[in-house]
Amino acid sequence: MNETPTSDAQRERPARAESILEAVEDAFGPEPNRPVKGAASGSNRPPVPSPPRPSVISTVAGPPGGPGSPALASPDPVQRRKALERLVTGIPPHRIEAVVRILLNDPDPALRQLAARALLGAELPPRREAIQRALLDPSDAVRAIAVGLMARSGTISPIVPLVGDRAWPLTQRAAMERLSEAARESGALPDTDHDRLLFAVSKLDPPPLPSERHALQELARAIGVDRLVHDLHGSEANRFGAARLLSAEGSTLALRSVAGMSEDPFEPLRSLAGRARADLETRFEEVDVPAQPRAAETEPASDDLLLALARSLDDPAPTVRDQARIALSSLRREDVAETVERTLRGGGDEEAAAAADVAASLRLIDCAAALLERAGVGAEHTRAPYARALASMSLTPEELVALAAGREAVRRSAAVRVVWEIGGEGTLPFLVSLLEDSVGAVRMAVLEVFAESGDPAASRLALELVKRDSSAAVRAAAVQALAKVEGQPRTAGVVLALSDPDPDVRATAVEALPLAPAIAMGGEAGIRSAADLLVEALADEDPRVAQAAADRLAGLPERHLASVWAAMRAADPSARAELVRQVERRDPRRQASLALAHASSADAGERALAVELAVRSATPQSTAVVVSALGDPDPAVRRIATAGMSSLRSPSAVEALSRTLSDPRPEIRVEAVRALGLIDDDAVPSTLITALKDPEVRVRDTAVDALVRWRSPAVAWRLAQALSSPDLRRPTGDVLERMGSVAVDSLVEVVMRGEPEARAAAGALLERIAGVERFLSELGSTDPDGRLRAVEVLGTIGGRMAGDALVEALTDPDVPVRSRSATLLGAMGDARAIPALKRMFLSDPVVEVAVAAEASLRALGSPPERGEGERGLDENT
Amino acid sequence: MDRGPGGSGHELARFRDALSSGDPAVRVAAVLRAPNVPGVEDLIVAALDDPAPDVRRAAVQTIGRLGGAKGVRALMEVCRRDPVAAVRAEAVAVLGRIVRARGEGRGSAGGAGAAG
Repeated sequence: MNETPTSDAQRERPARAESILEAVEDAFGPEPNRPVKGAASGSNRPPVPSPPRPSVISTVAGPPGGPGSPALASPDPVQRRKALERLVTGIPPHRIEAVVRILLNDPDPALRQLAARALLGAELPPRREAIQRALLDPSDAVRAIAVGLMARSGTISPIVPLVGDRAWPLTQRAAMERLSEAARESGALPDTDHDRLLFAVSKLDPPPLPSERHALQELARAIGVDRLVHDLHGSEANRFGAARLLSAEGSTLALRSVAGMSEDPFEPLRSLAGRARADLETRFEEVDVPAQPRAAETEPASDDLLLALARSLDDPAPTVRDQARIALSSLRREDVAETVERTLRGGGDEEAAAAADVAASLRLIDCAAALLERAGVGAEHTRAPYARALASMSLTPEELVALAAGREAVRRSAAVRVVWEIGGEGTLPFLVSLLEDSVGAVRMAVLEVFAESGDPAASRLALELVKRDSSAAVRAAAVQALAKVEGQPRTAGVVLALSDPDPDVRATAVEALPLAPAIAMGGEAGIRSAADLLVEALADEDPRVAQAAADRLAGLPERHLASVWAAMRAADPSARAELVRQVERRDPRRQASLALAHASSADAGERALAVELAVRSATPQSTAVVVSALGDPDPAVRRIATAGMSSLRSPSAVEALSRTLSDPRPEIRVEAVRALGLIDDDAVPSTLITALKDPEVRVRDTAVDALVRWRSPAVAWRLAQALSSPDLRRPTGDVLERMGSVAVDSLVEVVMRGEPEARAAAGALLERIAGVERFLSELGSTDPDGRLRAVEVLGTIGGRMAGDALVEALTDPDVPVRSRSATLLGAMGDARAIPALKRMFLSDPVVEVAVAAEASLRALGSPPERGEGERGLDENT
Repeated sequence: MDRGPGGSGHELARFRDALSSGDPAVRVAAVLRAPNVPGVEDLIVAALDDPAPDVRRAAVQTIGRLGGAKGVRALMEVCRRDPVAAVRAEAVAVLGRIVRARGEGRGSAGGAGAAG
C-alpha cells in the first residue's frame, strides 16, 4: 500500500500550510500507530492514520463563505451530525469536498461513518485519494464503508487484498461482498485481481473461519465454479485459494473438484481434498454418476440449463417453443424466478435477454424490478427484451411508477426513463410524485420526460422547480425545459432564474431568455426588455454568466445595436473585452458600424470606445477614424488612437503621428514613436531621428529601438549625417553602434568628407563597430581609393597601431595615399614618425608629398634643416 | 459396475457394434437399450450426430435416462442446433425434466442454484 498523507514522510512537509487540510495536518504531530487486537502476525498492514483532535474541527469543512455548509464546519458535533444526516439522502456536488473533509478529519468515528455513508449516496464519487485515505481510517466501520466508495468509483484492485486482512473484519467482509458484486456485474474479475484474490484467500491463517464462510461462499458463486475449477490447474497459490473457495461454495460439483486434488504436491491442498471427500460421503447423490477423473467434464449449472430452455422460446418451430414453455412451466416457479432475477442482475446481454423471455413467458411479476433495473443499465437499443417482458406483465402505469420509485437511488433516474418508454403518457400523472424524490437526478429525469411529452403541465412543473428546487442542476434543467416551450411560464421562469443564487442556473437563464422587447418582471420591477436584462447579466460577478450574456448580446439582431453599445459602455473591462470579442467573432462589420456611429460623440468615453472598436475592425473607414482621433482633444482618446496605430500600421497615419510627436503627454509621444517604428514608409526614419531629441527619455529610448529595428544602409546614412548635429551626435551614435556593420560604410563617408567633430565621432564609432584591424588589412588592397579610405579612418582613429600603419603607408605607390598619410601623422602628433617623414621629405620625388612631410615635421617640432631642404628641393627640381 | 460374465467391456463392445449397423431401426433400438457402463456416454453423445433423426431422438431420450455431464451439455447444443424440430423439442423436454429433477432433489433449500 502506498504512503498515506498522514505518514511520517508527508508530515515532514515545510511548516507553512498551503491549505486548510494541510493546516490541520501541520497542527498535529504524528501519533504512534495503535496496536490492533487480533491482527494477523506478520501481516503487512499499512500504517494506521490518527484522527485529528477535536479542537480544530471548526476548520475542517472549509473557510467561512466557502463551498461547504456552515453547519458542516460547526464546532458542535451535534450540528455537524445534523448537517450530515440531511445530506445522507443526496449531496449536492459543491458540498462533496466539505463532507470529504469530515470523512478524513473529524475526530468522531460516528461522524466519519456518517460522512462516508453520505458520500456513498452522492451522485458523484469523491476523489480517489480521499477514498484511499479513508481505507486507512482507524475505525473498522469507516473503512468498511470506504470499501464501498472505492468499488463505486470503479476500481476494485485496492480492495482485493483486504479480503485477507482479518485485523479489520468489517472491512474484510465488505471487500468480499463488493468483489462478489463486481464479479456478478461484469461476469468475472480481471485476471490480475482474480489471481490476487486467490492469493489472499490462500494465505488465510488459520483457514477460513465459520464467520467468513458465507461471504466466501457468495464470492465463489459470483466467480463461478467453472472458473475456480480451472484454477485448480494453476500455481500453488491459485490452486489452494481456488480449493478453499470451492470448499466454501460447497456444491457437490465444487467438492468433487476439490476431492480430485488428492494427488496434489502441496500437502495442505491434499488435506483439503480429503475433507472434501469426507463431506461428499455424507451427501445424498442426485444422479448416479460414476467417479470422474480430475479432468472430467463438469456438470452444467442449472442456471445454464434453464437458459438453454429459455433460448428455445425463440425457436422457429412452434412445437419447440411450446415444449420450452411446457418445460419451464413445469419447474418450480420460485426457482425459475430466482434464476431469472440472478441472470438479469449479473448475466451477460444474451443470457439476460433470454431470462427476460422466460419472465415474459411465465409472467414472473416478481422479476419486474430486476427487469426494470436491467433495462436502465444498458444503452437504449439493448432495452427491448426487458421492455417487452415488462409490457407483457400488463402492469398499470401506477404500478410501473411505483416499481421505479422503489429502485435504489443510483438506478432510479434510469428507471424513470424506462417506465416512461414503456408506459407512455399514462405514467405522467404518477411520475409527478417523483418530482419530490430526494435524488436530483431523478427529478431531472422526470422533468425531461415531461418536457419530451409535450404535456401542458410541463412548463408549470418546470417553473415550480425553478422556484423551489434545492438542486442547482435541477433548476438549470428546469430552465432548459422551459426554453423549449412557449408562453408566460417560460418568461417567468427564465426571469426568475436570472437572479438565481447559482451561477450555472443564471447562465442557463441567459441562454434561454426570449428576445422580447417587453418582459414583465413581476412585482415592482415593471417591464424590461430582453436586451436590458442581457446588459445587466453582462455585469454579473460570475464569468460564466457574463460570458453567456456576451454571447447572446453579440448575437442580437441589427435593430438591437444600441443595446450592444450600451452594454459595452456599461460593462467592466473584462466583460467588455468578452463582448467585443464575441461581436468581432460573429460579425466584424457590426464592430465597424458601432465605431463609426460613435466616433464623433460629444462624450470622450464614447469616442474612446469607438476608437477601440475602430482599431479592432481595421477597415479603411475605421482606420480613418483612428487617424482622426490622433488629434482628439481628449488625451485618453489620443492615447488609444496612437497605440492603435501600432496594430493598424497605416502609412496614411505618418503625418498625423509626426504631429503627435509634439503632444504634451509623453506617454502619447511614446506610443506615436512606437507606431511610427512599425510603419513601412520612407518618411518615418527622419521623424524618428528627430524624436531622438525628445526631452523624455522614454520617447528617446523608444525611437532608438525603432531605428535599430530598421537597420538599413539608407537609415544608417541618415543617422550618420546627423552626427554633424551636436544635439543628435550622441543618440545617433548609440543607434549606429547598435546597428553594427550596416553602419560602417556611412561612417567611413563621414570620416572622408565630414566636419572635424563629426569625423572624430565617426572614427570612434568605427573603432568600436569594426575595429582597427579591418582598416589595417585594407591598406593591403590593390584599390588606391580603398587604401586612401583606410588611411583616413586610421588617421581619425589614431593610436599606436594606426601610427605604425600610416608610417608604412608613407611608401605607398599612390601619391594621395602618401600625402594624406604624412599629413595625418603630423596631426596625430606621433614623434615616432619623424625619421620616416624626414626620409620622405628628402627623397620623395613628388613635391606635394615632400611639402606634406615638411608640414608634418614642423607640426611634430622637428622641421628639416636648411641644407636638407634645399637639397631635396634641388633634387626634385 | 461389472454386469456379469462378459463384464462391462463386453456390453460396451456389443453396443458399439449395434451402433455401426446400417439399419437405423437397429441403431435406434440399441441406443434406447444402451447399458449404463463406463464409456457409453461418449457413444450416446456421438449418436446425437447420427444422420437419422430417429437415432438422434433416441439418443436424447437415453441421455435423459442415464444423465452425465457431457451428455447434458450435448443436449443444450441439440436444443440450439439440431436441424429437426422434433429432435429439438425432445431435447427441450428432456432438459426440462433434468432441471426439474435437480430442483426436486434440492427441495426448497436452494432454488435453481448457480451450479447444479
